[in-house]
Amino acid sequence: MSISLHLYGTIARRAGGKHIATLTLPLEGTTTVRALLARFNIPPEETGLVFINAVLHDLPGLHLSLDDPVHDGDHVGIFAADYVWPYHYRGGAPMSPKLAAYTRNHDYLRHRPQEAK
Amino acid sequence: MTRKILRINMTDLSATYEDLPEKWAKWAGRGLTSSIVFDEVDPTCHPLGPNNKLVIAPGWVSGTPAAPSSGRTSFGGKSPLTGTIKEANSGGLSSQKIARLGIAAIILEGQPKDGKWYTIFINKDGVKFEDASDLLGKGMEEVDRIMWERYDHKPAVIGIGPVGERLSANAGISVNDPENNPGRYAGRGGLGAVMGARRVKAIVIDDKGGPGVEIKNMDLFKKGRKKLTNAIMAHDLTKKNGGLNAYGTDVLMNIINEAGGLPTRNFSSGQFEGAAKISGEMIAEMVAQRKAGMTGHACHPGCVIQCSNIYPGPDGTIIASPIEYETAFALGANCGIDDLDFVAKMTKACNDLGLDTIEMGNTIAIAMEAGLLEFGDKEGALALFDEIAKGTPLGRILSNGVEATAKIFGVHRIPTVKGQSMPAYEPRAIKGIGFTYATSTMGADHTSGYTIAPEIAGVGGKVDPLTYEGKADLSLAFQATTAFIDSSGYCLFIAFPILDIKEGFEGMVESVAGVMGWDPESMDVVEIGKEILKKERLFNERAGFTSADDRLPEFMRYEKLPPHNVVWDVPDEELDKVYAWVHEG
Repeated sequence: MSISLHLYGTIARRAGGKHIATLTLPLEGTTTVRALLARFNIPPEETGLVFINAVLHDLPGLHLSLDDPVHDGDHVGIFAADYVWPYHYRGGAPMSPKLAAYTRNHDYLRHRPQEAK
Repeated sequence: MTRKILRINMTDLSATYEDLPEKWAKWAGRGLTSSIVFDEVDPTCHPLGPNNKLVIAPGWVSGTPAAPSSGRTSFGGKSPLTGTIKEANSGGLSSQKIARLGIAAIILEGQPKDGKWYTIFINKDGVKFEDASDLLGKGMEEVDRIMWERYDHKPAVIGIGPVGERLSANAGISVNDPENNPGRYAGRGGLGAVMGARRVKAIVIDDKGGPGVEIKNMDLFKKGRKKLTNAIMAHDLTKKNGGLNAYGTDVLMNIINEAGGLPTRNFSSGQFEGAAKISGEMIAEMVAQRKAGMTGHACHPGCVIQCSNIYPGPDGTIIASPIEYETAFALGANCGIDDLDFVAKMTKACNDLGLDTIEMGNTIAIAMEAGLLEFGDKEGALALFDEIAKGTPLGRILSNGVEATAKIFGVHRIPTVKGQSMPAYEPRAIKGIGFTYATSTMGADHTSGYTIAPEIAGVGGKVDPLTYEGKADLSLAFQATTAFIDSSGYCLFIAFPILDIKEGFEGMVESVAGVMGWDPESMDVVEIGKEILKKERLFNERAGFTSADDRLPEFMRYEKLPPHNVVWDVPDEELDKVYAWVHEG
């Protein structure tokens, strides 16, 4: 029972990496993104894009994914807060229902939707 | 001081300076190359025949004092790869130097009657035609070096490698960088072969003593320049030590791989298990570990983003500059190769021989699919460049790109639109970019549709990600804005700060308006861009293209792409909405 966790950018240093940390973590039952970050003392505000099994769960500044469940066998990819995934390379990519619901009522074109005026 | 057209006729070896006619007076960069090609090139001509032309134009703000990241040169003509109109642009030294000579565009036309090859030297005193027979067969590294030995003032060198001399459809045009290396390419669409068909090996530009660029409203220009520079330096992606500066464009590798949209092994999967090993983060690690090379390299003087890199080998000697995301995808993931050193060696070969790295990597992937070599065979992939260097029949086939190679070797999984192979974003997984790939006037092109602010795109900030509604209009607004930026001389990467920071967008508009003497309040960026797109679209229609060409390849409609296991299912009628306006009203 395990999950695979990839951390990218400055947050990788908190898990023994330089720019990237690649880890396989034992897991009993389910956990959450928040608990995974806590394991490495990574403050949520230092994170941005979050992927679970290739599905986008979070964008910089939103922190919508913190309580999303992570199950046995999942792959989780978490990027430092300053990574940017431009909309024209992102539009139409699969995303979590929670993020999809959010983007329906907010600006999804900008890199940090909350900053849209 | 008015900008001039420099018309160089290779048939009679003449060079004439013409006043910029009224119909082209407002244009620069892509807007000017596409206008000239639209007006002067028969859309039905053969791209390699006597009636095609190569047009070279700096942007509106190129050559002005310290406009940030404004060194892009546009190259235009009819493409031998796609048969469409083509604009490919490059960094390097050429844009600012051409502009400072007071030249709006160079039109290269005709073919020498004697079949000889020439180098063209341009400075403030005029144009010289020089015998290039001693340069034939030489790679761009050597050509750049020889040109700097031969000419003073560290000139710009626009040149073609052996692949361009052979008129291959994947021949790019090289521009030297500040260190006089040939890594800057107007790569896509085979314009190097259009230059080769005029029998021009190199164009050397020395701007010393040139008249400079006229700025009609200096106060407005300075105001705009400051706003844009501040926005670039404030944005996460373009600021000092931001994503692009720290990791280069290859910062996208891990993101797109995590998203399941990284084309892998000839577009058969959306994830590559070796992605991290060929990512921008790994480039930074290699530079640190090997204590050589650099990240944060500027591809042209005055760039404040500095997203380029110089990649070192294990012994600290430089292999190549730059390793871009597109390069690492095409020569890496799409070939199943996870070794950055080999990606760098192949990049060096592309830069020297004169090949577009995207088309070349995708072509090797076709050869792998055909069984010429195995996916992941890095030594075998590198050895293919020897075939190209020697000009063997196999090498000549490969240097004509994906479609030619696939046809000859019986491969049907061909990831192209209008003859040009796709860049590093899988449209089955990332559907939005499929709209642009399908409908772009350039063939499959990742630089055709950069995002603009929603209020300018006319969508009011809300885009339902789960429907196709409004996506055609969005793609059009993106393509039009991109055509505007491609005309400005600014690097397309200013698109990120001007999307997110209002003052950045204002700064771009005001700096352009300042140079041209326009009223920024009355400038509609999307409408100006649409004027360019309309010319390009009409050229393509007259060349025989129809909406049936605005489609993604068939295999994407029935082959499910892992890990999402999705097909391309956007209805054709949605795609046809993107350019419906061209014949309306």
